[in-house]
Amino acid sequence: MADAPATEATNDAAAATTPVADEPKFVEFFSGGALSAADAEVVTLRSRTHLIVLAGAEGSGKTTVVASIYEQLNDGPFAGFQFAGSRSLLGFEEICHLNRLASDGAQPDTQRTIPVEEASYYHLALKGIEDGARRRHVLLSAMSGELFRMAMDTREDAERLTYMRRADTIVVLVDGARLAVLGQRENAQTEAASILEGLIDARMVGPSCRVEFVFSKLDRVNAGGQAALNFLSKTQEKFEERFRNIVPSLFFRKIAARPDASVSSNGLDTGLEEAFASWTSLPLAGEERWTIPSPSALDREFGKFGWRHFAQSRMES
Amino acid sequence: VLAERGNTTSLKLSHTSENRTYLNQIAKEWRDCSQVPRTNLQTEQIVVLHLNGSSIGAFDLAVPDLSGEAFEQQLTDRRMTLHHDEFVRNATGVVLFVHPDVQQGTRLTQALQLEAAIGGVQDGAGLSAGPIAPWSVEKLPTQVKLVELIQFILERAQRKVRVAMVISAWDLVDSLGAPHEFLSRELPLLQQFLDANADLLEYAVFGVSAQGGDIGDPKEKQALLELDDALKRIKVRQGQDTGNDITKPIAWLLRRE
Repeated sequence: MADAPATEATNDAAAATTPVADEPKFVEFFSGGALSAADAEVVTLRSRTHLIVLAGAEGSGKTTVVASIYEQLNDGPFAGFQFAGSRSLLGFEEICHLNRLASDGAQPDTQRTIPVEEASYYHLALKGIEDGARRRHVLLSAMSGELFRMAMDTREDAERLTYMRRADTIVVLVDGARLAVLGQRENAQTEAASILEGLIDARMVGPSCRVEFVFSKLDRVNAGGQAALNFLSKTQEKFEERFRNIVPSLFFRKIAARPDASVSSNGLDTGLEEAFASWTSLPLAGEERWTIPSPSALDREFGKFGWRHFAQSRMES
Repeated sequence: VLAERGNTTSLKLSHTSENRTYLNQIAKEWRDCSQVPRTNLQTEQIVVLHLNGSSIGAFDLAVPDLSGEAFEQQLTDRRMTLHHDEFVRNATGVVLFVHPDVQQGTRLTQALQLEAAIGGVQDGAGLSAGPIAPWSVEKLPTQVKLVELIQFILERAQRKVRVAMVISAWDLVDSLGAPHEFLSRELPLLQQFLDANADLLEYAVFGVSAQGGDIGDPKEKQALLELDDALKRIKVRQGQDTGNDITKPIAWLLRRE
């Protein structure tokens, strides 16, 4: 295709005057790691993209949810989608590493979201399993609690989250493991509510944005007995009362993205498949986003990023 | 095969290549039931064969024998030499070789579930609890590596790409089902990727056993050498059909619509 392909790291003019014998020239590709906000924007500009932001306190399971979705796709079609590609395969693999035998670990774990200067995004190209389905793109972002707190403190930090204002779905994770512990459950509840309040204050919840409170680690809640289950129900009622009028598209869900082996063998439905189908099924908001012309200043980045692949997707849209 | 048994293959040799040194060397190793030397970065060769195909006519088949190391480098360095890029952009098709002993990327959760299911060790005590090994590109499961390499190819190819996926050493897994079943069972992410991108590529899966058995096993090697015709060692399977025509994957790449 004629559109700017991967970057050719050559300088023909210089080569003509200063020949360098036997020095290989290269074509550079996208990094394969988690995407920066700028890279994520390139995807959005070029293709129909659904942005899912997972927010939650430290240890609530944000990255585990992202890793588990990718792990499920590794085994076959998931939530009605087949895997059609990714610009962040290495990023996915890295966050899955602590749940691999190759890590030499004894128990599954997930690399914690590191609060960096900007959020990271994981890209999936998906295609519905039904005949004639179109390819579509999903970006997943695990927003660390600390990054969020930084954003609350200063305007400069808040601006780092600008791209997240495009979120089609915001998932606020409520740590089920902490809900099951008497000494921690009140704080777990308060922190989750504060996060959504903060997101609303920062105007990150658009009018068509779907918001879900997701109670994570359902296996741990179940293991906590009736008291834990009752507290979960009360938490849901509280949130319903507090946010229903402010957030029209408010939903609740329980998942166990990576349940303990013993619990899983008892046939617990992880709820992740239904959750992912729901997070990606909304009508895409902001249609104008698909009609933005190619920004020439970003052409080089597009080249590295895989413009040709995305151009094809765009034609299908 | 083309030189000795052209009447049984889809593609036929029209006349011999000008430079046959490399071909003769690897053909000798094969006839002796010896391990054909691996291609490394220093020994990459372009093999040119002058062929005839029944529905294709006369043509020159240029096969760059590229080293696996070069592809590993593409994954780690995130770049491709212009030399390889030229092959990709001008290629009629790609033959993707996969050894059946794939790196799975087995999950700890799966291993623990398996332990629990068979009533084994509890709480993961059966798994080693040594220091955590850091993540690296070398640890990528085979199917992830292959998806990434095909994504690179799709970036650079000038047209719809044909991919003939060849599962080598097929004799090791032939009893477990057809080649496309192997793909579905062992490399499901890759299979989804190939299916989902039918607008950008088309593919077929072949099981190929060039030696016919494990030549590292002295008894098996002896049995292979005792065959009255070395060409009988070759097994090529596509779907439920098994034959000796080793040109089949390439003939598939070259076929007209």
